[in-house]
Amino acid sequence: MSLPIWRIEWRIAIRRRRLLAFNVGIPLLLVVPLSFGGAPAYHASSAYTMLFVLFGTFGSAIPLLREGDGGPLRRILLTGFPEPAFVTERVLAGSALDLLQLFPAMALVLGAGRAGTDVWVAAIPALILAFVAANLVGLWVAALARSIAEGALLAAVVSLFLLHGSGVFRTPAPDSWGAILESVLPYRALHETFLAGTGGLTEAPMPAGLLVPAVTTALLFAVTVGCSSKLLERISDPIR
Amino acid sequence: MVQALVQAVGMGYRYPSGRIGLEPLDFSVGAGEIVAAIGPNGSGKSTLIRLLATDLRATVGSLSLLGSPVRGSPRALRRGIAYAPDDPLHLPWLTGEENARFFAVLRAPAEGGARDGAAAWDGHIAIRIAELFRAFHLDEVREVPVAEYSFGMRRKLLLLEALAATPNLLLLDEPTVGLDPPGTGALRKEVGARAAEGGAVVIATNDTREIPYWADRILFLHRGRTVADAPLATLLRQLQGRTRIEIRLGGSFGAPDSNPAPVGVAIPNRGSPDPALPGMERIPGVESVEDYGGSIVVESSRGSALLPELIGFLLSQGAAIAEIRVREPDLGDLFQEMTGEKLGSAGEEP
Repeated sequence: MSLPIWRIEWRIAIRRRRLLAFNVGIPLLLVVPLSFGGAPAYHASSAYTMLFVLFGTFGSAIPLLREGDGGPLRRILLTGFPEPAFVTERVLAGSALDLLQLFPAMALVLGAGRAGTDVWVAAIPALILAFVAANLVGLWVAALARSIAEGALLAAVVSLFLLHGSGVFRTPAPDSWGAILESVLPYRALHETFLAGTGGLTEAPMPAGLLVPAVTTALLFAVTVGCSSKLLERISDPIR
Repeated sequence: MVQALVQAVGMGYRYPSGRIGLEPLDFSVGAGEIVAAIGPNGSGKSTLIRLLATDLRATVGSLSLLGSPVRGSPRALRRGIAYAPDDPLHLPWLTGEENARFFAVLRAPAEGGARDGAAAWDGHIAIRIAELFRAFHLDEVREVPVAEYSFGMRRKLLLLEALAATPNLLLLDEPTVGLDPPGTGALRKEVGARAAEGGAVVIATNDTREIPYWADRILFLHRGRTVADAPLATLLRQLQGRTRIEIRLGGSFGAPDSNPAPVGVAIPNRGSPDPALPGMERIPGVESVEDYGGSIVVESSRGSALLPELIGFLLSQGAAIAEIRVREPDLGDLFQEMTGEKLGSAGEEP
């Protein structure tokens, strides 16, 4: 397996050092005033979750739209490279890069909140799950949008709906449809990790609680890979 | 019988706006054949190339590529096709070599399959890319980011990437735009080699001076329609014995127009007919005479051997000759004759 898309994503990220520094530094700058400013845990953790999810979704959708709109994406597809492999490698590379770029910000939040080992252990899978989901959502957004501006708007709207459904802005009533939705959506675990890390929850989210959203994310991944040919065709269509 | 690598039957394309990109045409390209699709901007040649590259899907008719019909996902077909579009798009943060290797390696899974096959492919590609960097005189900049490349360098890199994969079907859109003479020479050699190895090559161009002479067959396109599809030799035969002698007259002779058209501008019969012209048509070898008001264009079947008699005739009529130009006709003239429209390629005179 030569994984050319995975490798090229990393190579470009490393070659664009200034952008990489910005992508690490700006989230750090954004979380510092919240972490050290005495913001209430519930509000702070909502802001952190929004920041991380929007970072992942925008970071997936906007470059894809740019590459599709007169960029090299069409050239890549015209080589006959398999679309499912492209989507898989691209989503995994994007998620890994997001993890690398945002882990320092998360470490700062958890460090400032004096989070226990159990929270640190829960943070990594929650972060991975959130970034994989955000990168998948970004791909769908890129396929539905017709311009970068439209993509940015759509990414924000879709992410906010998913964040709302994940219980980031309010806690749904027990045994309601909202509660069921919250349990399957992939951003809940990240939110709860931040809540636990900032003192809003007494316990870290249990690893077992990640199972259902992990299945949801895996399903979304499978559907996205299954539709990869159509999605990429739409993104790179020169006459859209 | 030569295997057809491209077989289009009634293939046409209409853009979503309703504009016709290509009228239905029957077209085939055999193994080892080089075809030049020639036409002015908007004639449909890029649409044709994009259809063959599976970048567009025909709205009417059918298309077979490399022996398989284009239906459903064309992924497998695309591996045998290399397409160099007119826009040299690359990954600008990577070096020329990294770009070349990336676009070549994308084809590896089908070619290689097993680990050994993939390794062999990598080795083959590395050697081929090194050869092509030398051939296109890009060796000195292979480690330089493409963002620092000039337009001509990016054009060369694009062609190099298409050629590196040694495709069965090579599609080039305006390949000589931005190329220097060594680059054009290298391209000609590589295109010839690809055809010699049994590949098919289709080139879209509005150049009538260079590329047609690489081709076995010429396809003239005009406003989406096929005007001619014939071997180069057949078209060249139509041009034989039709040397154009363009004479600009000085003084007041034959210049009733205060603003005469420059030599070569195709606006015949401006001003009053010159009284000397009927006599000129009787000179043996003169096929036709056109009066442009202050300048005369004579078509000669005797080439420039006609010049002494022409000059002698004009001088005997009291004419002052300001300028004489002798031009052998090219495919641009033939295209103009067939369509009434000039190709307007960069190398063509006004």
